[in-house]
Amino acid sequence: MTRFGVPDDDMPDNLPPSGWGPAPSEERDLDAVLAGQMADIPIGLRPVADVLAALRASPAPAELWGEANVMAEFRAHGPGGVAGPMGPAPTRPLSALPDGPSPRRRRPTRRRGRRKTTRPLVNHWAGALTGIAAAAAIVIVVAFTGNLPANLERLAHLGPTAKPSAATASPQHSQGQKTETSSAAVQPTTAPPPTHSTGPAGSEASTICREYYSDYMHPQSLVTEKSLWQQLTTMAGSQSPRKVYEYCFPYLGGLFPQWTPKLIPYPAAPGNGTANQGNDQQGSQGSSGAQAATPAPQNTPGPENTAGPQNTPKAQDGLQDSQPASSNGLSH
Amino acid sequence: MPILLRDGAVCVDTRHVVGEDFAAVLAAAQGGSERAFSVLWRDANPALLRYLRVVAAEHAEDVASETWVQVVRGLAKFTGDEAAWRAWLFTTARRRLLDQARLRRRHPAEPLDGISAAEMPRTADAEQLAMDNIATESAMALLSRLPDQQKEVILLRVVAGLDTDMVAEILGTSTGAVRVAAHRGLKKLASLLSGAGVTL
Repeated sequence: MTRFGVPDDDMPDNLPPSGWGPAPSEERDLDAVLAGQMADIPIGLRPVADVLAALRASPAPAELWGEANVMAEFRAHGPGGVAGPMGPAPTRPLSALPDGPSPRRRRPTRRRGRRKTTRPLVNHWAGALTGIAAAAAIVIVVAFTGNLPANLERLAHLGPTAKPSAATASPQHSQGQKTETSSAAVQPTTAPPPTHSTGPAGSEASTICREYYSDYMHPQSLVTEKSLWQQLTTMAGSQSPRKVYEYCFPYLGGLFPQWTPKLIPYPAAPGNGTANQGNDQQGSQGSSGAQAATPAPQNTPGPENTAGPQNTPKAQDGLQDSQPASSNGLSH
Repeated sequence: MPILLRDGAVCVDTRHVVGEDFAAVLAAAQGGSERAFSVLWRDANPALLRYLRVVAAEHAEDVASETWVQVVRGLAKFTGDEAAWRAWLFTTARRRLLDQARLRRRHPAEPLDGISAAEMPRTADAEQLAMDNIATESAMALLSRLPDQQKEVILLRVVAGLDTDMVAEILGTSTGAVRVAAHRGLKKLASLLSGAGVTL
């Protein structure tokens, strides 16, 4: 320390010697060389400027070889979509490359993607239109004839969501005292329930029932089946297949060798025994109300009818809409 | 010999050539236009290759290919002007370069055979191109004798055409350090040229 209490080599108060770093003028020259400005460059830096000019010289063909690979990568993984307005294709200066659009320019990936998006839509709409047309045809046929075609009716009998087959089976044929009392207590009958006769009418019903179900299981003539069905619906007092089956149930024994007619009771809701009856009551009034109000002639209770069992207690009508198909006793 | 890029645009060197149309070209490339992406590739690939040949001579093509794969997959998300585009490209290349170096240290492998002379495309003026290539190759060979940071700075400034700030960002250093490295590299280059009598 000589003066001011500060060492001489620490924080000198004079300018650095000229050998430290480039001079300001030299720095400008170096920046000009880096920027590629060839004018006003000192002669000593000319060779350096030439080297840098050679570094940024026009591309050699070897530096443009990999375009095909990069384009393939661009096609495979590049951004998709429609190309923007770009004017003509780039000029190809290399004589080894063919002029005009090459096969590489195709875009199979994008086209494939478009097909994938459009084809299922077309198929979907075609299928939907076909289904609508078929449904409209069925509705028209039903509207004109009043009945389903036999084939469809058979399907309706067997289908898992078919309304007629959703009939309820409660043990009306093996009904105990409890069932009868409950049904009697529930419904004030506005129409006499269909009963079985044991006289000539009963034998006629037996014949028709057996003929119908025989033809039902082994279809032969749609006209015959339709005629038998109309007679049965008249006799049973309902167009419900379940009620018709219940009506014919006593006569179907031994109809087929390996089949025993049975009525499967509708499973009552747990802990809600009376609720079913309430629903039955509503269903009786709702689903077969019109038919029940006009009793069929065959079902007019005669002296012998009163002795017969009440085969269709009203309490069971309302459950017909929710019964599975196999519950009508005709499971194959 | 200049390489034609598009109608009316001639690539006279490895620096920016797309110019004012860059935004439209980039948008078209991001929309899936191969022609637009070809323009971008032809604009930047020569500079990229020269940078990589000096920094990693043996694996330049491999690193360049990996760089373009990365660029293609990230192209849709890129935003910026032409300088930013070049900065992104060289940043990606530098990262791939570091990955390659790391991978080679773990799994040294034999390089595949190069492309035969018969497969190389021919040009109309092969002699002139050869002379240009010789000059360029000589310049690259001379530059490769500089320290790593100096030659990388000069390449990014001169070949890629990036300014000091972008080079500093790519290298992860300050602009002052970039300027110092560039000046020292140029002075070293001058001394190499004068002392060894190198001619281009």
